[in-house]
Amino acid sequence: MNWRVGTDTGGTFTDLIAISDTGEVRVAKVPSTPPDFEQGVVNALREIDLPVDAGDVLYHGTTVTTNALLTRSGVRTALLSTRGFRDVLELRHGNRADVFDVMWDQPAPLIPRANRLEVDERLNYLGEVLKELDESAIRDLARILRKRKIEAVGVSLIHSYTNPGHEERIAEILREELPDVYTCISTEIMPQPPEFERTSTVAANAYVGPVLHAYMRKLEDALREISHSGQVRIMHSGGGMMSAAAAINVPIRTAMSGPAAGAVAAAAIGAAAGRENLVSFDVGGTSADLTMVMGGKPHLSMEYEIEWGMPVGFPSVDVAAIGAGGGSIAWIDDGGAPRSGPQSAGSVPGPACYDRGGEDPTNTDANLLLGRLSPEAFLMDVDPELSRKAVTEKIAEPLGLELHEAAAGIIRISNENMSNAIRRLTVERGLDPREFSLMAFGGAGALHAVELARGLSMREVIVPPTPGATSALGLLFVDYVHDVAHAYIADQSKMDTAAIEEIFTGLETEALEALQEEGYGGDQAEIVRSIDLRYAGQVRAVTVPLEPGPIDEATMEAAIRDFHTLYEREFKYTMEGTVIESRTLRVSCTARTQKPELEEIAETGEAEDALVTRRPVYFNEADGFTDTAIYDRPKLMPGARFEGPAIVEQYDTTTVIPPGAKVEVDSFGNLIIEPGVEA
Amino acid sequence: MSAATETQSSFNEKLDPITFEVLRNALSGVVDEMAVMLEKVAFSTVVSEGRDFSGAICTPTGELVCQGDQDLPFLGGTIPFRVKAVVDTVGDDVSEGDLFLHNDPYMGGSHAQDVSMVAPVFWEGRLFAWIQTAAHWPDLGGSMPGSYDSEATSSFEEALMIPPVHLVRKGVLQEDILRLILRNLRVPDVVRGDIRAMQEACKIGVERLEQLLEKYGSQTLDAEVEALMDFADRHLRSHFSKIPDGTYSWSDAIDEDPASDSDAELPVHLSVTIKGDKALYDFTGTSPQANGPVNIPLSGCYAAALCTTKAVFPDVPFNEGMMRAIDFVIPESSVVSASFPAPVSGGACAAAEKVVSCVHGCLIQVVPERAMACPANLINICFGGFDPRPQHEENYVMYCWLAGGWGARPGARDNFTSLVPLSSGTKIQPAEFLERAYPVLIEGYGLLQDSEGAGRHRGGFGLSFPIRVTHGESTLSGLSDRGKRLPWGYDGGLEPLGNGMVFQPGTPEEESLGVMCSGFRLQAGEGIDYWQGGGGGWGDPLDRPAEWVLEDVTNELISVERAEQVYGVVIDVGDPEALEFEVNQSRSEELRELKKNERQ
Repeated sequence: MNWRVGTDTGGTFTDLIAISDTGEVRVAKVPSTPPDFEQGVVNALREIDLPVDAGDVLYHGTTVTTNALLTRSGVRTALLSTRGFRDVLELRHGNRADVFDVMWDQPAPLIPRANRLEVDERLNYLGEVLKELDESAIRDLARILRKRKIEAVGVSLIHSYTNPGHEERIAEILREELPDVYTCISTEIMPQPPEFERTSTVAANAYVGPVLHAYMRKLEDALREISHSGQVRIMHSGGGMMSAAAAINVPIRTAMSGPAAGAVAAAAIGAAAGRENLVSFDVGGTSADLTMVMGGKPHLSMEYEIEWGMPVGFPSVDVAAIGAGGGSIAWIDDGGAPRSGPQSAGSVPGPACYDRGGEDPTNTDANLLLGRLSPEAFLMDVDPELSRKAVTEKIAEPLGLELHEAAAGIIRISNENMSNAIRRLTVERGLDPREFSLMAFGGAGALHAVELARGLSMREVIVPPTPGATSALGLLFVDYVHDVAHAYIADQSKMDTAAIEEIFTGLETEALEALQEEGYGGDQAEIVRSIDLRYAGQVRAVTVPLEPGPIDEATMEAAIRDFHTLYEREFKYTMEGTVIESRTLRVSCTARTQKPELEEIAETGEAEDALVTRRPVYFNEADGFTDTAIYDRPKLMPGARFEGPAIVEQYDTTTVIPPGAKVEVDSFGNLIIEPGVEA
Repeated sequence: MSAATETQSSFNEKLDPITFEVLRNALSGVVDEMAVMLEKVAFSTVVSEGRDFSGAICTPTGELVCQGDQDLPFLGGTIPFRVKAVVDTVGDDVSEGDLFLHNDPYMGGSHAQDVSMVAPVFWEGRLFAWIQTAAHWPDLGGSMPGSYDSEATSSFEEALMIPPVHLVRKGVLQEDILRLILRNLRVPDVVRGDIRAMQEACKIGVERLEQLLEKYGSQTLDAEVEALMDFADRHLRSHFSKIPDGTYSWSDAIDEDPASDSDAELPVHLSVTIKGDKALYDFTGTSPQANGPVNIPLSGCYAAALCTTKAVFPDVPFNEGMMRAIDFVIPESSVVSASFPAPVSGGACAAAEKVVSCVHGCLIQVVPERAMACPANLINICFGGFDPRPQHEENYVMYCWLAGGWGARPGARDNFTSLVPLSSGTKIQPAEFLERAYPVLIEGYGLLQDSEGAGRHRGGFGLSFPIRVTHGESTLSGLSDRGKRLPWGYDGGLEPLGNGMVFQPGTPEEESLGVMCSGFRLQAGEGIDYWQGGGGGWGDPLDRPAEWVLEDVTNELISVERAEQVYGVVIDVGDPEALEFEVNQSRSEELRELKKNERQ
C-alpha cells in the first residue's frame, strides 16, 4: 500500500494527513515546535505510524519563510543598488499605513541603511547603458561585505529588467569573491518594474535564503533519522510544488506556502463536489486567511504584500489575512465603541476560559457563553465562568448590555470584519459574492461561516469532512508549477512579435529546465503563455492568456480583443480607441502530478442517527436561547438532512447552523449548507 | 462619566452599539472601494501611482459622514465644503443619475487642480446623501504647466475654474461641458481618462450605498449618520476635557510674499482656547492675504486644522461631528482665508503647512505624548513641455512631490521620512515609471545626511530628488516654503534643514532657485536637484542616548562631525568598511558637560 503524505506547519499546530492508494485516511495534529519546526513534522509522522518507504516524498507547507520575515529573524543581509537608490527599500512609496496617526511607526526595513550599498552604473528605461559598471568597485564591495560578515546579498539595479548585463556581472564577481554568501539578483528573481516592489522582493529573498536552506537541511536530516527518504516538495505561494533545491533558490516564493495549500484544498474539494467558484475561509486561533477559487483554480495576485510595506512580486494565491480568529480579543475603544481584534490572546494566555491568565474576552469566550461551543468540544478543560466574567466586565457592563447580547455582539463585529475581507476579495475585483460558495475550515471557520454567507447573500457554505487538516490535504492535490515572467513594455503599435517570441522562448527554456530538474520530461509539461496588458497610462494591468503557437500579428490582435473582454468583465466598461500597452510576458509551466481521489462514501444515513443531544444555544434569529439539536459529525452520513438551529461537533471543529439554514450531507461527507436569508 | 457610558447614552432605539460599529465599517468600506476603483483605472500617474485623491460620503446638506481610510487628508478635509458649494449652487436642479464637477477654491475647494466629482444618491424618492471623489488633475491650463505659477497674482493666471456644473445629467454625459474643459488643458487625453475613472468610482460608491440602504433601511442609516457625528463630537470633547482650561498659542510664518517687493515674513497665528470640553481655534493675528499664491481659501484652513487635530487624536472619526467640538475664528481675506481672486495654487505648500505647524505647536504644549514637533513642508514641482521622444511626441506635464521628515515626538523615539501629514495618503511616483512616461532621468532619491532636526528624539531626515531633462526643452515651476524660516524643534529640539531647489548642482552654471520658481527653462541635459527637509527635533540633543547617535552614524544618517558638534558624542572610527564605530564614552561625557556649561 502506498501513502501520500502532506504536512502543513503553522505557528500553533502542525497538521498532517496521509492518504493511501486504497483511500484510507490518517490525520495527525501536533503542536508546532518553533524554532525547530522539523521536530513537529517528525512528531506528526510518528503519530500516524506509517510504514516508511525509501521512495517516500513528503509534501510540505511551511511558515519558516513568513516567520523569518515577520519576526525579522533572517540573516545579516546586504543590498546593492544603483547609486542614488539605496533608500528605496526604506522609503517605500513615502506612504503610511495610517494616514493620520502621528504615533504610527513604519516597520523597520529588512536591511539597515549601513548595509545598503551603492554601485556606479546606470541603464535607461530602454536598457541602454548610460554609465558602465565599475567592476573594480564591485570587488571593493565584496571586500566590505566580507569584513561585515554578510551572509546574503540582494542586487536590484534601476531598469535591470530591460538589460540583465550589469546584475549578472555583479553576481559573477560576488559568487567568485564570496562563494559562501547567498547571492541573488533581481534579474533572476523578478525582472519587473517598478524599483520599490522589485527591490523589496530581492531583499526579502536574500534575507530568508540561508534560513530556508538551513531548515530544509535540518528537515531532510530529521526525516532520514526516522528512515524516511528525506525527499521533500515545498508548496509555493502560487499554488504549485517545487523541489527543495528550487525553493532554496527563490525562498521568497514560499512566503504564502500554507494559505496556498488551503486554497488548493478548497479547489480540490470543490471540484469533487462540483463547485468551481469558492471563497476559502481558513480560521485559526489568531487570524483568518481568505482565498478565492475561480473556475476551479486558486486565484492569484501579482502584487502581494507580506506585511505593510513588504510587497513580493511573485504570483501568490491572493490571501486576505485578517486578525480575526478564535482568540481575537473584544475591546472598547476610547470613544466607547466595541471592537474585535486584531489583537489576539493566542494560545498563551489564550481565551479567558482557558484559565491561563487571560482576562480579555475573545470570540471563543463569546461562542462558549452562547452555547455554540460546548466545554467538551475543547481539547482541554475550560471554565465558562471566566468567560462570563470577562465579557461582563469588559463589554457588557461598559455598554449597558445584557451578558448574552454582548457576547452575540462580539461575534457580530468579528463577522463584520471577516465579511469586509470577503468583500475586498470579491467586490473590489468586480466579483459578486453571491456567485460563490464559502468553504469553511481551520479550527474556527465553521463557527462563523453560515452567518457570514447569509450577510453577503452567498450561495452556500461547504464544510469539508476534516476541517482541521484541510490545508495539509491540499498539499496532496498540487501540481508542479513553474512560473516565470519578464517585462516587455511597448505600445500596441510598436509591439515586435519576433522580440516577444524570443522572450517567450527564453522563458519557456528556463521553465522547462527547472521542470527537468524536478524529474519531469518536457512532454509532461503544459505551457501557458500570457501577457499583461493595460491602457497606456493606467497602473493596473490585466493578465491575458495567449493562444498557443508562435507569436504573430494574429496572436497579438486576439490578445487585444481578449483584453477588452477581460477588462470589461472586471471594470464593467472599456475605453475603445485608447492605446493599449504591454507590461509583462509570463510563462506558466505545469506538470500534472498523480493525485489521490476523493472517495465517495457508499454508506448513507439519516440525521437522527447522528443526533446526540440537545441544548439551549443563543441565536439572534431566535432572540435568545433556543432548544438546539447537537449532531456528531462522524455519524453524519451522506443523504442526511436537517435544519437549523443546530450544532455539529467533531474532533477539532464545531459548525454552527442558525435557524433558517438547511444542511445536507453530500456523497463526499461535506456539509452543504444553504444559509437562508437574514432575519 | 466615563467615555464609554457617555457613548452608550447616545445610541437610540433604532441603533444598538453593535449595529453602529457594523455600519461604521460598512460606510468607510464604500469609500475605500471607490478608492480602489479610481486607483486602478485612472490614467494620470498623479492619481494612479501617486494616489493624489480622496473620497467621501456626505449628508444631503453636505455634512461629511466619512472618508476613505487611505485618502489624502487635506483634500478630504475640504470635501464637505465642496459638497455644500454644489448644494448651494445647483439648488433643486438635482436628479438621479447626475454628476457634478467642481474645483472652485473660493467655493470650498483647496486649489484648482483638485477637482471634485459629486453624485447624488436618491432613496425612496428623496435625496439621501452625496458621494464624492476628488482628484488632483495633472494640469488645468493657466500660465504654467501643472497650473502652478509662483508669479501669479490672481486666480485668472492660475487655472481654469469650474464652478459646480453638470457633467452628467440624468445619466447623459454633457459632451459640451467636457469639450469646453478639455480644450483648456495641456494634457486632455490623460484628464479624459481620469474623468472616466472618477465616474466609475462615483458609480460604485452610489451602488454600494444603495445596497446598504436596501439592507438596513434609510431610518437605520439616518440614525447611523447622526450617531457617527455625535460620536466624533463627543469623542473629541472627551479629549479636550482632559486638557487643562486655558489658551495655548503658537506662531509660525510663510517665508515671504512672492509677488511683493517686501521680503517680510507672513505670520500665521493660532490660539487654541480649551474651556471644559470645547475648543476655540482662533487665527486672529494671521497675515492678510498675499499677492502671490501662498494663500489657502477658508475651506483649506478648516481642512488643515481638522486633519491635524485628527492626527493628534486619530481615534476620532473624521466627520462633521468634529466641527461641533471646535469653534473657529478666522479673520477674513487672510493667508488662511483668501478671497477671490487672490491666488491659491501654492497654498497647500505654504499657508496650509503653517496651519499644521500651529495646531501641533498649540497641542504639543498640552498633549505632548500625542503631538510632534514641526514636520517638513511639502514641495511641489512641475515640469512641462513637448516630449520629442519617438514613441511619445506629445505634450506632457510631470507633477512631482516629495517626502520629508516628520517632527520628533516626545512620546516616541525619533520619527521617519514620509509624505507630509496633509498629503500622507499619496505616494512618491517610482523613478522607473517617471522616466518612461516623461523625458527625464531621476538621478536617485535618498535621505539627506545631517538634515534632521536634532534632539533627544530627532525628527525624520529630508529627501532629495535630482531630476535631469533628457529630451526637448522643459519648463519648471516650483512652489514651496521653508527656504528661510525652518520647521521648529520643541523643548530644546533643533531646527532641521529646510527646502530648496538648485539648477545644475556641482557645475559652473549652478544656481539656487530658492523654494519658488516659475517658467524656468531647462534644455535637454540640464537638471535640478530639489529637496524637502527634515522634521524638527524634541528635547536637548545633548541628552540623546549616545548609542542612538552611534546607530545614526553607522547608518550614515548623521556625520561623525555632526555627532560631535550637535550631539556632543565623540565617535571613534576604526575601519568604516567593517562598520567599526564606537562611542568614546569619556570624551563624550566631557564634551557634553562642556557644551552645557558654555550655554550658561
